[in-house]
Amino acid sequence: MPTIHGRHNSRQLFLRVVIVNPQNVQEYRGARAEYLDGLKFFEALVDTGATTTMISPRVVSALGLSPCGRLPLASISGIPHWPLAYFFHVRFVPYEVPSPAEGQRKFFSVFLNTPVIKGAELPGESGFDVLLGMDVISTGRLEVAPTGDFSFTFNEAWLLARNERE
Amino acid sequence: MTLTHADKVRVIDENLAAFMAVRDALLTDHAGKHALLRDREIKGLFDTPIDAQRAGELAFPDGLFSVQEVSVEASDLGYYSHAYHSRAA
Repeated sequence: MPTIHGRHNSRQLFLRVVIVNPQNVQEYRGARAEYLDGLKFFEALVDTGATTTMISPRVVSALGLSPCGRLPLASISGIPHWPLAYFFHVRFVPYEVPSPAEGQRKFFSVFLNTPVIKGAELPGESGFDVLLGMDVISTGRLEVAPTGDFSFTFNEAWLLARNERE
Repeated sequence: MTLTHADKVRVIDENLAAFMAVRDALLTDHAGKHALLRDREIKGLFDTPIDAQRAGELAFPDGLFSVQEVSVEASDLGYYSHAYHSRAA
């Protein structure tokens, strides 16, 4: 099972993820996962207190996402907010594949964790672009160590082979 | 004609207002389903949001539709809800 390893700062835990516009999945079809490029990487704050994955306006703009509806979000006032909702894929990048020669393009091994996420837009810009909620976290195994290390292992049942479910 | 972001948001909000008017009645038999809406009317109910989206894309190529879940539960952002509230207010 693929595992991402990283460091946390005892307060927050960030992961680098790839967000993909479902409308663009077709153009990847038929390609080997190891040789995809043109990916857009974003910093994701892992938040086990969030039920839903959220994306910043920068992600929406970068991917050209179109809203599909609105999503009710609980607020401390008791009155829900209704931010715009979007469909998108969350992909993880466990490692960089060594480029064949210096100066050539870098390649990454990318894994699709869940078929499609329906998340909502964060209000304004934050120090991160993706709030990774339990809808995604719960599909894998997250381990946080007191030494400052963390790992996220994908649940094999959710690791989808390319070209089968996309 | 290209669908603008403003057009899409207007359609979403018009459909949402119509959806909210009937949501409680839908909860009895269709809780957890996902409604495909067009012209302020429910055109279908689906098990997943992406099923509703795909049905909408096939039936309405102009993109003038939206998808809403039949539910009264709101997503929770945990600690970030505090930041969200202050930013969105």
